[in-house]
Amino acid sequence: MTTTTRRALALALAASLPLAGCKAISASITSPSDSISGSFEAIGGSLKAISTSSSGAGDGNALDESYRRDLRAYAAAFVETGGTQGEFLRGISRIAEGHGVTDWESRPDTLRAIGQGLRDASVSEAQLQQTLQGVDLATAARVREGWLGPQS
Amino acid sequence: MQESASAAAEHVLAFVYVESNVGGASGGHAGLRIDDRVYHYQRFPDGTLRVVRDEWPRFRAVYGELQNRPLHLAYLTVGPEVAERVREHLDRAWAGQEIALGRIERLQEDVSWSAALAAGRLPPALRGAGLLAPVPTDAVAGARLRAAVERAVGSGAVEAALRRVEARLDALARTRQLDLEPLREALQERESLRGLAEERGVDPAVLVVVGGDGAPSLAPPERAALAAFAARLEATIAGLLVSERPDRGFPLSLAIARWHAVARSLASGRLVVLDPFPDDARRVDPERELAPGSAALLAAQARALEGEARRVVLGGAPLDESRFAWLEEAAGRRAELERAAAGLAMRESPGPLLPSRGRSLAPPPALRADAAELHVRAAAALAAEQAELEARFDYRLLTRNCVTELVRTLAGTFPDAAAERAALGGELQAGEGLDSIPFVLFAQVQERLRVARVEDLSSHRGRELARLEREEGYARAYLREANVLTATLYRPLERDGAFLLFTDDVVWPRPLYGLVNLSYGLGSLALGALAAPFDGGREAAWAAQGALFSVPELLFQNVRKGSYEVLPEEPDAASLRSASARSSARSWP
Repeated sequence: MTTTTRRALALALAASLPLAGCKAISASITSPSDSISGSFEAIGGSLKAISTSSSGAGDGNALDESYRRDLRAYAAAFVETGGTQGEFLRGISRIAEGHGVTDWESRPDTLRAIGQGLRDASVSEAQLQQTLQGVDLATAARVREGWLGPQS
Repeated sequence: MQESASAAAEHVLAFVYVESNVGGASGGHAGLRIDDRVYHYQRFPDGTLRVVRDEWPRFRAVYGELQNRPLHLAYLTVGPEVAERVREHLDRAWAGQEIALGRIERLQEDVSWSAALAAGRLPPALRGAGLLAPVPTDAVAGARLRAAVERAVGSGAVEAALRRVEARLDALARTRQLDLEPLREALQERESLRGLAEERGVDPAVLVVVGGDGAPSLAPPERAALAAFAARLEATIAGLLVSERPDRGFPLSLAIARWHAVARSLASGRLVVLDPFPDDARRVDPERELAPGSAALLAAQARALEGEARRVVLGGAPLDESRFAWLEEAAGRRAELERAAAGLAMRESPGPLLPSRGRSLAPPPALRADAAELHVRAAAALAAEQAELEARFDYRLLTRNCVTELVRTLAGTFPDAAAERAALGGELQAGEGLDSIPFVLFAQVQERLRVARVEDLSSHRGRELARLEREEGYARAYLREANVLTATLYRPLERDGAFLLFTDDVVWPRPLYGLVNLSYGLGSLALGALAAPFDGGREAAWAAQGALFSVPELLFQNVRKGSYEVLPEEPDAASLRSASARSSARSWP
């Protein structure tokens, strides 16, 4: 079928069915009006997610990599949006909890990932030094290590 | 259909087009797969359109199996650095969204809290404050934990931390700052510390027995893993006592409660974990929302997954909190599905789950005398933030949908159009009328970008029908499976609407089939109208939906494909067969 034909059919479809695409699965989960279609997607999808998690549990490296990636992206995004120190720390908690981590301070890779994110956001060395003022030496060293390290 | 081995092994960057179906997206859906993760934009109940990240197996299970929609992937020829760059950009878009959503959630809490304080009511439940019992439940274990923690951070450290947080609360009560988050955090921390100081123990109401009744006792390697985890939790608690992060109260409560759950497991030999569901988990009424037999099938799957999680998590590798959380989630979901299988209401919440049972705590007397004024200011701040969120994330049918945002975000990865062309082989257009429709985008991808190959993944029914046609012969299998009355691959579901014939696997007979479906839908609608006074219009709605989605079939277009309630994957085939045999034959309508 050519693109033109497909477009014509799409127009007919759009005219006959004024229903939106991209509907959130979670909308089905939380919207009482659509709860019937949502329950099984939610439950079945959740079981699938556990299944994926369990099968990946042995591969600690991949899971840790995903954790670091998200923190790195978060740190870079926070530099762009701005905010207080408290907001930054609470944001780390929010991201870490998505990985089942609440005691993120005890993980050295948390600080390195933050350092990498600062580098991604083009934080200069002078800005980094300013940011790390008053921070204990071990913490600052790990953040700096991430900032200096390879972007991977 | 078999996924090619090369797709799994190589660095993957692929556009995903998901065909339409009723109930979900009648216009189809689009996403971008990068290795084993799919990035896609979804519309949420508040009207916002947000980037969502799903692991590929889950995405395929939900869209291809449960929603029974064929998936098409166009794999691009790009270097690993391009795939990495696109991934980083999408991750950053997601992180920016999380920052915005976090702010909204805090402001919403401020509004609820200030309203409660102004009215002299108990404020909303504090997350995690309900994990520990309000009174001592296991003083011996509690004393042991406190002693272990004080060995690490010094005698009297718990009392000292309590004094510090009390002083902080006094100061916060006198402040006039708008942000109530520090107050909530201080209350949360004080409750955790009181639990530790008063040697309270976990609230028995939040415990779930892994495997339920009749589960095997702890094996020696499991005991060793749990003992090591308990020691790790003691170190976590000690670390949080001297931490300076503002939100240490919740992780402290969680670590203390988990330690007690582990201690109980070791003492009794029966593995217990914390209930992982949040307080706002949705209640599902199985009688009303689940078809008969489905809950039993899901419970059987959940039991198998719980057993697997126990084996993997306690199987010898060092146990950390993220792995322990999977076990908690698996046990919690299994317990809920067993409730549903028994006909009782169950809870459901999107994962990943983390134990967080809350409890309302009385604030200090005379807290925030300016609460009424604070409420007005908090509501104004929330309205302003929500307006900003709406401007950023508002969904619009043709100009801001899953296609337009995917294309815009992808374009934003590159500094300019030339760089995008160099990396991808071409450019995509978004927001140009029909270009914002998923299958049009997919055609555009194939025409304009450097596509190495296209992969078509059948829907669940399509794949199973092909298998039956091979095994039984085309005519026999097709004639039986083409209609919902004799089909063995499909059971009618209310959400799919009224129809008789499947039209997704035929082209030329489609208008004729559509006419049959439309007639059936309209006939059912007439009966539904008569039944409306008795069923609240439920059957009429089912019939009207069926008639509506028959109309495109008259124009050779197919939207409806049927859908499934239970993932066909069978982790424990024997128990699934057994559960299936036990289930009744009633179906809706």
